[in-house]
Amino acid sequence: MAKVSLKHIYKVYDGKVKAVNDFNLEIEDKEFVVFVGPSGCGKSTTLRMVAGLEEITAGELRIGDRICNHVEPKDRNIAMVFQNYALFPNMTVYDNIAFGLKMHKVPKAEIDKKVHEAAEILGITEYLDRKPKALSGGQRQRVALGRAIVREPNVFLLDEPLSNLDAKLRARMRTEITRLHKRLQATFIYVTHDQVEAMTMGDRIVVMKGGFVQQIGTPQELFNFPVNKFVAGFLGTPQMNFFDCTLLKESDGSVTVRADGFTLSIPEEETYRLDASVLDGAHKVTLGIRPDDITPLKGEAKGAEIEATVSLVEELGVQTLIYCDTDANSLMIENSPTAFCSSTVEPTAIKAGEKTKFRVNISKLHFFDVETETTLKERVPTVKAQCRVEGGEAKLLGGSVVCPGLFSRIESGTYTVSISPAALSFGNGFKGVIEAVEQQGREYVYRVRLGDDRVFLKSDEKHETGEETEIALALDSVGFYDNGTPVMEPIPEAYRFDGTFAKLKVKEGGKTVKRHFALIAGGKLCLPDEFTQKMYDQGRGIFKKELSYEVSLDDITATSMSDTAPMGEGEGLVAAVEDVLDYGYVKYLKLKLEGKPFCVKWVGDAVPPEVSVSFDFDNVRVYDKAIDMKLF
Amino acid sequence: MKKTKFRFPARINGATVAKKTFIYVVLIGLCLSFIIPYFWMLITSLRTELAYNSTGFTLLPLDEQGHLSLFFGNYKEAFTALNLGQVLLNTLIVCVANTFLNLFLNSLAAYAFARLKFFAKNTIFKIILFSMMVPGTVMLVPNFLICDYLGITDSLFALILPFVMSVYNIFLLRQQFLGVDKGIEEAARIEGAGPFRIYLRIVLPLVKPMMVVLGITTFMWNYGNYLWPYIVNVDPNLRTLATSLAELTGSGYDLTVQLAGAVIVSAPMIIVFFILQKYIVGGTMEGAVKG
Repeated sequence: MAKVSLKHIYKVYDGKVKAVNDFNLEIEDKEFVVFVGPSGCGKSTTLRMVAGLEEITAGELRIGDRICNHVEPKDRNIAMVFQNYALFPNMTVYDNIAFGLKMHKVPKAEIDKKVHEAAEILGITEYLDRKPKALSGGQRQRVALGRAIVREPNVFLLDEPLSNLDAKLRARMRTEITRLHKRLQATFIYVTHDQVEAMTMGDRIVVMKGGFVQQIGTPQELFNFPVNKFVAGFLGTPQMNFFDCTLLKESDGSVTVRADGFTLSIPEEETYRLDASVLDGAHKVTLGIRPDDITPLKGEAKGAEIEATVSLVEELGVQTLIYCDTDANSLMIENSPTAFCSSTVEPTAIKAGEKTKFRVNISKLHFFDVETETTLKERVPTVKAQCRVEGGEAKLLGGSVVCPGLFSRIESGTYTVSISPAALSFGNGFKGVIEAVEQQGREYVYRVRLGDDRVFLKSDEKHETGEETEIALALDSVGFYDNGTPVMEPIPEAYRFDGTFAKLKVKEGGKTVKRHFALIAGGKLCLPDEFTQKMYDQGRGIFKKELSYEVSLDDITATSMSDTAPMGEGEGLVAAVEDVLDYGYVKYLKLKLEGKPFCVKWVGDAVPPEVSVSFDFDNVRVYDKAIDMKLF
Repeated sequence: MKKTKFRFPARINGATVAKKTFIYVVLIGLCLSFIIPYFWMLITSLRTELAYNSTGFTLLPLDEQGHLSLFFGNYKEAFTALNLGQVLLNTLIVCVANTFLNLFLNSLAAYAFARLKFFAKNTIFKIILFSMMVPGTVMLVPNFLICDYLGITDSLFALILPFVMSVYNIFLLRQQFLGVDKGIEEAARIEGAGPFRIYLRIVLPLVKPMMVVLGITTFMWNYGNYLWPYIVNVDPNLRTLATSLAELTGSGYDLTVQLAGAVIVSAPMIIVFFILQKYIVGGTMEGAVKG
């Protein structure tokens, strides 16, 4: 069996239409991964690229340990089930199932055994002599599955296999495919536009939209922690209710949600994940509540009530859907800012036209930015805290950090600091208490109280709730802001430099030779052979393309001009030093190259006015700038 | 008692009957116009030359005295004059070889144009289609010169080689291949079949009706091809039925013998037509719609 790895996979048609955009996914051996999304989101295209039926424009596909970008479909050891079954109409069911084995020259007796075994598993033994046209949809789908399982492939690819079946059969085949996955112990990649199939079948779900991956995670993760409004609305039936609202942080730490027709109050302990910048009572925010989290109220629920007029009641047997509107005059059931759906499994006597109270599960509220539609309640959020800077020392998170080289540059005063989870780790620094632990995949998400502030970090270390701990803070990853104006921004992890690729004649030891260069900001960097080969792998057009070279901070080296070994004419990049940022444990030079500022780590006390910049090209990533596509 | 007026249902009222009668009269007239010449040829071939000259136009096998009688002597003479054994063998070799080669090579080309990716595919296809616009007669001289250059004139090979490729067949088959569900081919590709095996085992069986139709029409065209064999082959032993019949008509034989020869030459194809008419009619319709 096999792992499947997709790294920066792109599919671009005619050099401009991007069907799949920077798709990254590691599929574990025996995992059941579902690609889900609306029509045209690129899910089938991605699957077909894994199958080898579509060429991969850029990126790396591995099946097992082998790079499979240019491997023929038949040599990938995969099997595929198509939406329209794709059975061979001129062959019997037996021949359809046996076709792949015959192609692989399996002995006849073994073919016979395997076909009968597969037919037995799928319950189609009695139809082996029939032609596909004499079978029903469900039977045809089983034959297609039989054709796939008989070859015992490493990876099963299923492209909307149930969408041509009726609802009842679809539900049955769903469980059959899940059972088949458990029995075969193979890697399954399943494409569907049906979120119920995705939620019920997948170990992990990849939600796609417009060629972009929106979110990857387990069904529960996606359901409980959607990263944007699209994922929140796409998963879950009935769909999540959305309202426009504002959020205001009260003096007691609670947050008041004001929407059209109702007001909710979120207690302080539920607000730590909320983006603090929108809690001013003025920002328009989208509130999302799943129908299961709005239930008919019995008694009172202060701060968690919605009063609304019932427009329609749908009895679904075990579940009742109540469509309501906080605006009694609105007749809309959907697409109204005041309408919502409530779902309850308890018996209810509510009738259409009644005015009823509903209880909202405050801990399950979702908030999204109105413009970007991204969540304002991240699972591992960047937190904002107050920081007092004075005399080379900063007081924050219930402790202090001394760094004269940095804080003496900032005027004394109070600032807001933005602390991303990446800036935090377990280690010496700020003392605190672990308030909450959640498992996310193989890692744990911790909420730690540091003084009066709460920070979130992710770690594979295991700690318990209530445990006292120490948290180390990487100051170079922290941003300092004065009323929203950046005073000191975090140092980025990588920079992009625009340039081109060229083969140029240079003089070496009196001889003229041809060398390959990256032409960046008026300078040129000679490229190592391995990197040059990767550039050549992109085809002849690479010489004409506008490129972006993405270099990690650790792969940029600056050398004093006096220490730089002599280079050929015009070789190397020379940048002017603008500033020095001394974080104590690390020092950065702030440089400028043709107007583009960037930082580079610096060792030593003397700071030259100019430095020679070089890259470690082993780790440089190259992008096609015109369509923003990673080439390698 | 009140008199009731009875009416026929609308479908058989007077106007409809008149309309239908008119249509049937036209259709029967057309049928007769096609059948009568052939029937006259058949009947006349069964009469003596004397009987034919002594009566006017008749569709009955009458002898010179006006009695009904069948005379088979014309056929015996036509058999000998046509050199039927050799000529029939030549015709069969040419038609069979041409039909199989034509179907095989044209379907391969059509599949390539429909499914394979190669440089300037569409441009090449357009150029090939353009050659359909050139009348066949125009190609007689260049074809003859090429055959002469290749040294294959005066051989059965000269009757096969120039006609193994047919743009019309390529075009029709390409349209058929384009209509085949791509998913089926992709499934076969994943199962381990290469392009040729997909063509042979999966796609070709799916376009069988069209292959049968094109097989029949190609066979028929070769069977009736007269001008090219007449130009390229001089040797009497390399004659086909069509050229042999032309030879018979131009050699001073009685008209009744000539007509017997015509019946002999046309009979096999008429029999083939009646056996395979289902495919011919169906296929022509399909070609019309798809094309």
